[in-house]
Amino acid sequence: MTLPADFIVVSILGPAIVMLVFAMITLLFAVFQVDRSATASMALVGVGTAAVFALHLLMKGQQGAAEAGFGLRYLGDTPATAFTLVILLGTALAILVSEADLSRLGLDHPEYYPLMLLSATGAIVLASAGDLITLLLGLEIMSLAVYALAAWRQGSRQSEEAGMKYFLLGAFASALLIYGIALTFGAGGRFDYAGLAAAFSAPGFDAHVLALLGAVLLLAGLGFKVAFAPFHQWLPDVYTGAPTPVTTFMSVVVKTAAFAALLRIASTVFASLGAGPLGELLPIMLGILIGATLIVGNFGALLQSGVKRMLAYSAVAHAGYLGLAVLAADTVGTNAAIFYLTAYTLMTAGAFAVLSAITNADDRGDEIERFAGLAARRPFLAASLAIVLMSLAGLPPFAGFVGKLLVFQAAISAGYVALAVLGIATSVVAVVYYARVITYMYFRESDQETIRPLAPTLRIAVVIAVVGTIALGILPGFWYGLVERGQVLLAGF
Amino acid sequence: MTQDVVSWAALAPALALLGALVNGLLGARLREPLPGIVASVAVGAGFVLSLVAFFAFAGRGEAVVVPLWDYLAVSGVELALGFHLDQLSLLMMLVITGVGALIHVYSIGYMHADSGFARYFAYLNLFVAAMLVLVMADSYLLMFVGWEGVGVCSYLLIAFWFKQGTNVDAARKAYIVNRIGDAGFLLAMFLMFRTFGTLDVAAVNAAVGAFAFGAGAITAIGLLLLVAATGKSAQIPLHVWLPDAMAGPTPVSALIHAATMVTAGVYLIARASPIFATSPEASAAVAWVGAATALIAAFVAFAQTDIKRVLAYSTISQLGFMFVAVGVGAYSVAVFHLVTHAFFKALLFLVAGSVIHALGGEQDVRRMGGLGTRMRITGTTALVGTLAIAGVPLLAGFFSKDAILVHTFSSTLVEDYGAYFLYAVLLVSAVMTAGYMFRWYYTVFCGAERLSKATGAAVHESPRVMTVPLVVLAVGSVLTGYLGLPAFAFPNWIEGWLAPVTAAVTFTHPALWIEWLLLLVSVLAAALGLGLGYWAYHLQKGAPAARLGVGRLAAFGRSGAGFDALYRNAVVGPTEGTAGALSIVDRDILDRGMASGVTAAGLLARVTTLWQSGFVRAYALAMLCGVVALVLVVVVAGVRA
Repeated sequence: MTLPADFIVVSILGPAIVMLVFAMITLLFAVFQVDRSATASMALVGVGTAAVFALHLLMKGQQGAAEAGFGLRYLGDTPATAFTLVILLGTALAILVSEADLSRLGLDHPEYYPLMLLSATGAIVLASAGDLITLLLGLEIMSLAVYALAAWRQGSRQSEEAGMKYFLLGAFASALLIYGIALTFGAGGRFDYAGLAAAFSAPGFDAHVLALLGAVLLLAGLGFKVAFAPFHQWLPDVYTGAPTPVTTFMSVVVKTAAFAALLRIASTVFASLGAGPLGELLPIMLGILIGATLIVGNFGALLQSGVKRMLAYSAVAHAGYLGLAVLAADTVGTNAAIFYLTAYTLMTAGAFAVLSAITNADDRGDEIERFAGLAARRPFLAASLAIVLMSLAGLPPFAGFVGKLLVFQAAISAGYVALAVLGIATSVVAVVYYARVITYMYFRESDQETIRPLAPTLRIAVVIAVVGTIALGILPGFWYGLVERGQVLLAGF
Repeated sequence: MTQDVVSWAALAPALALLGALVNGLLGARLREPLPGIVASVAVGAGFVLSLVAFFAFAGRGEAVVVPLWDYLAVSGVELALGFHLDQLSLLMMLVITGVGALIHVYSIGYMHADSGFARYFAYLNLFVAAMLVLVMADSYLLMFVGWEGVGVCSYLLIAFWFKQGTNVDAARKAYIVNRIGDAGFLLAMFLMFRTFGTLDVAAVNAAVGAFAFGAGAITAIGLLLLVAATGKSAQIPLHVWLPDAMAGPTPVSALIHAATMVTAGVYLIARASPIFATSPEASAAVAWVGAATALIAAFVAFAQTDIKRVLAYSTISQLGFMFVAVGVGAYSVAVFHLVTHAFFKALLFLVAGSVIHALGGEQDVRRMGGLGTRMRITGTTALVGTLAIAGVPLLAGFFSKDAILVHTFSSTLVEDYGAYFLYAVLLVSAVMTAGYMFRWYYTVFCGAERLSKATGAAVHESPRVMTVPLVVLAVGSVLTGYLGLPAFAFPNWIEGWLAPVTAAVTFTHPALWIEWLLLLVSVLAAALGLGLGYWAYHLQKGAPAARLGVGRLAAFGRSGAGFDALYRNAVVGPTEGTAGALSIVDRDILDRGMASGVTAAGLLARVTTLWQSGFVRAYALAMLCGVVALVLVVVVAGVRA
């Protein structure tokens, strides 16, 4: 087979290649035992450079001239680059949080940053995939590094258990995904989304049941990564057990990448199946998963006495809200999800950053009592956490409110009114558990416990998160406009 | 948009926000009473701007729109933020900043020597900013921002004295109950966007005209807005938070839980009046919610013994009157009562605050009495406020309450939904209002002193900074009534002022003698209530107040007609149960699972260990079940197809 002359377009690969190169550089730093903070700086430089490449691609998309190459198996259009930017933002925040805590938590091994950059590379590939094989590659690159990071703290039973649990269940989920890929290939004879969508909607296509089987297995495999119920049970344990900087990384970067992949498949492959016989099944099943996720996540969070675990359940709940956007992926859902994930990255990273400033030296101790009187002791931390929590609860004028508005509107416009109502109803519940933390910080007596001084990088991370949360809430139109005006390759099937 | 004086009023919320920032960031460094002065000046300046704008606006028809910025474009619709200054919003701004400034000044005295002095004024200014945004918003989106903002500030201020027992719980309860209303607001907003393709208030109101009278979509929007209003304005069944909200400082109760925030529901319905005027069903629902609330809350107010809780239930009841007014389509009348109520109820709360201040925190009316002679200004202004709310002729409450009664009697919008019954319910409520208010007044200010020696010796009239606002509000409680004299025989300014911005609803015009008769009935109602209150007070000679709230009916009333117990059994329990059941599925083995695995018994334990274990195999099993279910659905459907 000969490739067309314009098949390889290197610039599309720019962000991923840059991240890979910097992963290698930081690895060399590790070999030559360069100072850790220099490694962190280099990692941040890498993230920044990749962001420049991604911005370049985003601007091309704005002009309607998105680069198309690789037979659309690897995409550089607006959704892909916007997700890449969100991933880079999340990575940068995670690095800043890590830098403050690595030595304290006994995580100070030179391979840490290279692994994080590698994982982010995989996330970018996953978010840019236009083909099931690319998807699998990205997913595994991302996941393998995260499995290692989750178990990073040697000697800590929780951390090791978290890593092992994540790895075993992740392997199971990957098996489902690969099986799904095989069945989908069997039904459509292609791996690329464009080809699959064309095959499924071609006249005379009669393997609908096979294609649907493939689709539900793909859904299950990706549902694990995004934590749809009932594939979510690993998440509270892993988020709680993993070191907080790693949890920060997982909760924003891994989630963003997995949703990016799911949205792309939903808007192409699933959408083309939806038009065929039995096509109504897939949205119904997805809807049931999302409804269950909303309920399990919100009610689960209600019960938790540990803030870290509450945030873990809240991550499940937010997967449900994002799921509403997946239902409308072929129309406005993708844009809504990009905005939501941007907001989610800022506020979740902010919350975990504050958390990591408050936990014990060994990263344990996230009981809510520990937050009592924080407003009096550490007004900056308390106000920051209050703002990101209010945003997570969906209160105006913060970014989370706009995100919720967009996903509810997306679901309603796609006809899923009942699910949107469920989402709005559960967000009433959500206020209860977020407000509980705020109540402790502001309306409980301080127990006079001293907290160690705030590391400068952590302060930077918190400031970025809070300022971003407020700015996105007050002026959402700028970022959303960029996303909405952009060009989407691979739509219209 | 023209750059005129009216648009300067758009700075009012910014000034209040600035005050909040100054007090919030620098407050710890400012010496008392500086934070109070900063806050009062910020709100007072807003009042001046609003007043100038108000007079500059007189005689004009077109609303002045002050655009802020483009917010978001959704589905091709540009959502822009802006302020909409018209007859209704300017009137509301005057009430908020006017009454608000007085309460700020009063607070300087009331909060004297409180450790959270600056924090208090920061929250109070923040509240004023949010409330102004609520009434000035030109779109439901921005209105929701203010709507949520006032809710958060209310939460912060109810829990202000968080070191005292249950105040924080009261704040949380208020907030969570309000969130139910907020969900209604959000749903209404999405339905509006779907139905009209816009969230702009003026555009929505214009678009309603294209719908048939009684159209289903309009009714649905109206009912959802009613849910929102019910939460914010503490109407049955979402009223349970307001009595507990009295845990906040008393000036907060006056400003937020009497004069402004709780009236936001009435404002919302008046703002969306074309929607309700098009849907008699939604209007009737509003009216009946209001009537039921007015009656039940008035009944409960009779049994209360806390000086502030009487006023809280009274507020709920009076808001019920306003709901009936908007329900029957008398939007300007509802706003009229909103304005008069803002004055006399803020006055009554500040009076209560003055009494509490003088008695060193005592709030039980059974341990008061005879204070009228020792606190002359407080006692006199309290009498004015009581007369005004009771509906005694020539004071503000008389005119506004009579207008509500007359319009209910002559409504055509809800005449198929028992307009005469509504009238009867309101009349009874009006009698009871006069009754419990007079008893409140007698118990606190007349008769023998029942104070303990220690508090009795320390009783003093409050300082000037507190009494001057009382006097100003008392004057307002008389004069505001003349804004809306009975229209059949006198000039009625407020109806004409609000006519351009509210939907026109027709009322039957009964013969002149009937109008006079209705007026007479209102007078008699007040007189009857006055007698009732006197009788209730003097019934038990010797210990007139000690037996307050004794007896089965009174106990029922004292419990708030059983609503709290109902919710505890019907809502809170099952929610905790649901959450508990889920915890069986998802419990953290590392922390708690093992212990419960040992103690739990029988089938439950098996299920528990199967699901909660934290073991990888259990989680994998759950995933497998999920996948198998998904696959089975496809296979079964495939076979059947």
